[in-house]
Amino acid sequence: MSITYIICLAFGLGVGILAATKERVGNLIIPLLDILQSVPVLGFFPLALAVIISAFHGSTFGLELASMFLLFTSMEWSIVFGVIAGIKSMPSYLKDMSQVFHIEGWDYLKHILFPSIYPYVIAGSILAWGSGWYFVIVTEFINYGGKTYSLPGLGYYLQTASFRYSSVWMSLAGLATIGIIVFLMNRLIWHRLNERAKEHRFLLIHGFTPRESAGQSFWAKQVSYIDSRLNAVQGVHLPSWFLLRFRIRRLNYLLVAVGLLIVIVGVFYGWIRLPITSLDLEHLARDTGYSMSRLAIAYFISLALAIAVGYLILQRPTTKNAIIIFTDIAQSIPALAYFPLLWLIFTSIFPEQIGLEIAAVLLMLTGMLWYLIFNVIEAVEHWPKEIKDLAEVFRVRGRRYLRHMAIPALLPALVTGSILAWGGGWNATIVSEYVNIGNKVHTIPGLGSALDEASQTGNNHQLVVLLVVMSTIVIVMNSLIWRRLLSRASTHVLEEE
Amino acid sequence: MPLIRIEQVSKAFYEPKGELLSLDNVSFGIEDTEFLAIIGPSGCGKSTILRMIAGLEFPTKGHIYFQDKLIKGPMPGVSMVFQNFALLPWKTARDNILIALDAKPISRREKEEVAQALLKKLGLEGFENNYPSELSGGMKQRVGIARALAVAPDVLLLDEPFSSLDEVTARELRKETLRIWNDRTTHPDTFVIVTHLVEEAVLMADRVLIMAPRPGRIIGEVKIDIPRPRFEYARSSLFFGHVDRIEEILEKAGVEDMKHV
Repeated sequence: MSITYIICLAFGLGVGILAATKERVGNLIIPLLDILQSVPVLGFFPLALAVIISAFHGSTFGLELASMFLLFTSMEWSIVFGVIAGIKSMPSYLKDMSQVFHIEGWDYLKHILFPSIYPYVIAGSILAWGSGWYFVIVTEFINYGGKTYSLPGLGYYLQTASFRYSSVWMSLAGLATIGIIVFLMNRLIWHRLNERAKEHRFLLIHGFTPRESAGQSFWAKQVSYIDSRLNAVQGVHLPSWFLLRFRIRRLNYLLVAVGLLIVIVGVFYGWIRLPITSLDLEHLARDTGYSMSRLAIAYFISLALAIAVGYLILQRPTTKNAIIIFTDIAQSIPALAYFPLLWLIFTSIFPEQIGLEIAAVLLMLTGMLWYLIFNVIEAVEHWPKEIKDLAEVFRVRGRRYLRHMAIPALLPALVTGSILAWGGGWNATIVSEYVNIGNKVHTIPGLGSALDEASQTGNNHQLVVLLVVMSTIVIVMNSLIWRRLLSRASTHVLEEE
Repeated sequence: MPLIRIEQVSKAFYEPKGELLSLDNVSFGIEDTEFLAIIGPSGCGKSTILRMIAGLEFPTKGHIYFQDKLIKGPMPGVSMVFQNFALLPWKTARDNILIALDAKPISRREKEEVAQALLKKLGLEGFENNYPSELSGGMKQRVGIARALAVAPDVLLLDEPFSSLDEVTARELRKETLRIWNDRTTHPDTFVIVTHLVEEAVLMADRVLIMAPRPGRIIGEVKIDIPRPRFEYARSSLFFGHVDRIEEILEKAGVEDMKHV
């Protein structure tokens, strides 16, 4: 994972700098990256595996490479976008200054560019490791073409614990280990880097704003730590990328999407020489429907929870600390890690199919919920004091408050959160609809399980089709629903002057 | 009996570095129909006092009364104009005014009428359906003032209302504000303005309270007896005599960073 991170960092810096400084290149690279990052990573995986394994004839090296490739695809985007957003948001006077004093080449990178984008790179890295942990669990235990490939690691341990031995205790132990590692890494590495990053920020001029907090208690420290992490992550996170997206014309997106499709299809039909067989369209439509409805249920529950959390924090600021601490801890344990456990619990309570459905929706929920909640918390945090006062002075309360103030004000956060949430949700379908336990396969119908089945049987043709379908849904949803909502939401941004 | 009484009010904030006295034993009264200005450098607690009168914050020690009742939260009789306008970007000028009338038990039509009348009064006709992003700074604050007037309050609180506007616009709005105060046929008649501009205070107020920071306290009070309308006197020695008196009090208290903020 560390090796992958370093590769990601190098790649991110290279591509990011290129995309951000050369306008022409950026106009193509940004949509390309954007589409790639919105495609469910897990969907890519079996295909990548097929290519890499066949290239290395199933050797361990090939496997490691495949596993690293998946991790790369999950970690890369937040770093590249961090770099791009960082460069784009550099104050223009810095450029002028370095031109006036002839600071060029390596000196420019070292003294001007790197320090300026440092906070963005750190924040992007935090996100990258977060999603890396999520995927490391899948990458170490791979079923493809009737064979199981495994790589020693925590992910492997967790999967064998629950699926092979059905042991709650073993999976709890594995879970605890991951939780502790993630927590410690957040604490020891990211927190420190983040503190340093603060010194690099521009425009951080705050007025005199005394805060009523409970002094230096243990909890206050926890909260201020989490706050700083949230802030850092958010700095890169959404608003900046989305602004970037807007500047790029739709035509470019279309061109890049078509180009990608041709490349993918070309590679698989031309290079690997897959036979072209007829499609079972009815099946495909049914599976899509099932997966979509599960995701929709999970999404609406997440949305309701996120709005409730936002409302609660706005109404009773004292609950904020408790909520932040809870979500941070809950979120830092990768959802895939406790899916086996969920599965064990629900299938023992309910009949198998229903238990599976519940576990699947829950896993999708955990894949979606945090994006929404973190975005909402962040929006509430930056809620201008005057707007809060306004509601109080004019006594706008209850349902009216929700309708006229809270929901419109949270809209930008909800939309940006939703885009990420659906991305996460699609990934979750792949792992949640198909469980392989002790050599017995349990599935519920859906796009995710269809993909799993295809990779299990080594049906590359079906894999390509499913991947294209899934990616198309994501891209179409992005451009038809979210892009529109987003442009509306951008007029809702409350600014504190 | 003053309309608003501030009695031995202290306010402490807790900072990581320790307790900070934002206000230390402050007492004064605000008379009915008075135009009071509170002036002082940043951090002297002048905005905190205003927010306490609005019922948005509460004293750590001491009490504040409005019409002989202890202030326990925001009241219908007190309205406020905000420094950064506090307009909702997703609502038009009219809807931003209407939001203030949300809690009022009157019909939708009456509300619309009130809003329309205020839009007219503040010269916003033709801009009713514009969103804040389509309005200039001065226009935005006109909407902010109209919204504050919509609830027909007894007291209008103004928190540095012109400090985010350019000087020409600010001057216009000062005139407008004085006209509204002067008009005794409609509420509100009692105005409290917080500012860091000495000239602004002298131009507008009947009385100026001067504050100093660390800890926040009142260091003096100057009655302004310049005949109104004062714009005619704005270059007179009478006007600058008042300005100088306030500057002297500030200087004596060691507050030097006032003028060039």
